[in-house]
Amino acid sequence: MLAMIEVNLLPAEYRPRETTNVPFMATLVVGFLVIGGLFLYWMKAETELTELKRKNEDLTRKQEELKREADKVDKLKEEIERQKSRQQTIIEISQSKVMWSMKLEQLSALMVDYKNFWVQSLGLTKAGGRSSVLTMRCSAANSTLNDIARFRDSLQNDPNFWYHFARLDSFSYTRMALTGFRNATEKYDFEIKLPLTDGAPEAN
Amino acid sequence: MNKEMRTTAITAALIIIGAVVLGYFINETLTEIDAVTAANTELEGQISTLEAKVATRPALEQELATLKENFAQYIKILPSPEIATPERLLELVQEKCERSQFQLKSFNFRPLADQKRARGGFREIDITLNAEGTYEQFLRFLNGLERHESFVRVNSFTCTVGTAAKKDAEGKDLWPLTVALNISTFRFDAGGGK
Repeated sequence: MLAMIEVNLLPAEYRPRETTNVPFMATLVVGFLVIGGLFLYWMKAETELTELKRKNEDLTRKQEELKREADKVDKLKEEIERQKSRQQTIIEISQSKVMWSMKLEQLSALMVDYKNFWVQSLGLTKAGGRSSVLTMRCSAANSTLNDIARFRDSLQNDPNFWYHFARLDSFSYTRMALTGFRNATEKYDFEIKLPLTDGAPEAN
Repeated sequence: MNKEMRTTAITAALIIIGAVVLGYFINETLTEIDAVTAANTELEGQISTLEAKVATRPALEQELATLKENFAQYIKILPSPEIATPERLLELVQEKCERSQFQLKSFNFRPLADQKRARGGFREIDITLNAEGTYEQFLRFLNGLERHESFVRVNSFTCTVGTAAKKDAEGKDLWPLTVALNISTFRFDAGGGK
């Protein structure tokens, strides 16, 4: 099949003049503007991103440094708590000491007014609960319940002796005959329990 | 469609494709910017929290120094580890017994490994002793221990009257007490305990 070719035989001055392709040019200009604008915007965004990433690295580095510092602060806080605990323990230890020699001397001084009273046994022991108890097994010869009441009052009203004790527990009094003694015919046996207040030392 | 129109259309299509590709990259970059901005905001928040925490350090150091200073004073009430040893405590009890004429019958010192460890690195050293003597001798012995420069705490005791009287040098009846006594002292082991 033969192809047809177009041949313009007119002299150049008579040939139709080629005009500018306006839509093409307009498309090129708009395209250039759009692509160029978008490219510039992309570059600006990339610059911003680079800046942000550098800032992120700086912040991460600063955070790491601060974390190391914060760890030191945490260790300081732990050490402070340990020191406070030690201080509290030593205060508790020192406050838990009762001068029992003085306490027993005060008891002796109180007993002087009760010639017919004597202590069979004396003990500081730990009761079932938390606090320790001073227990006295006492006897009173030729005495009445009035004398025992006076004795109880004396124990509770002496501020030096009574300090450290929570209360006086003594509930039963047994009257017994005494044989073989010239100046007494009977006695009362009773037990006094003096629990210590909280904070006073506990018996083991 | 003539040649010019075709060229224009192809050019426009190429421009649109280029714009779409650029738009994709721009979108990716903007998404990344948002993520990095959010990460930075979070980091800034964490940094300000950490800065506030770190800013307390001088005050904490000051507090710790004060606590250590106070503790150095408080610790003086306890015997030092060099003094709170079985040997020194044996000597202490012996000396107080001699001074008060208190007749020691037995002395039990719990082995160090079994000693109670109080919190804060303090170790309680526990001694149980049995003895015989008059009430006055017992009080003198107790008083001597309690007033000794080493911190000695009386934990428990029992005093019971003997069943038979003894004669003293002048022939008077004496009723010695049988005494069981438990005392403690404490020492601070700087390396131990919390």
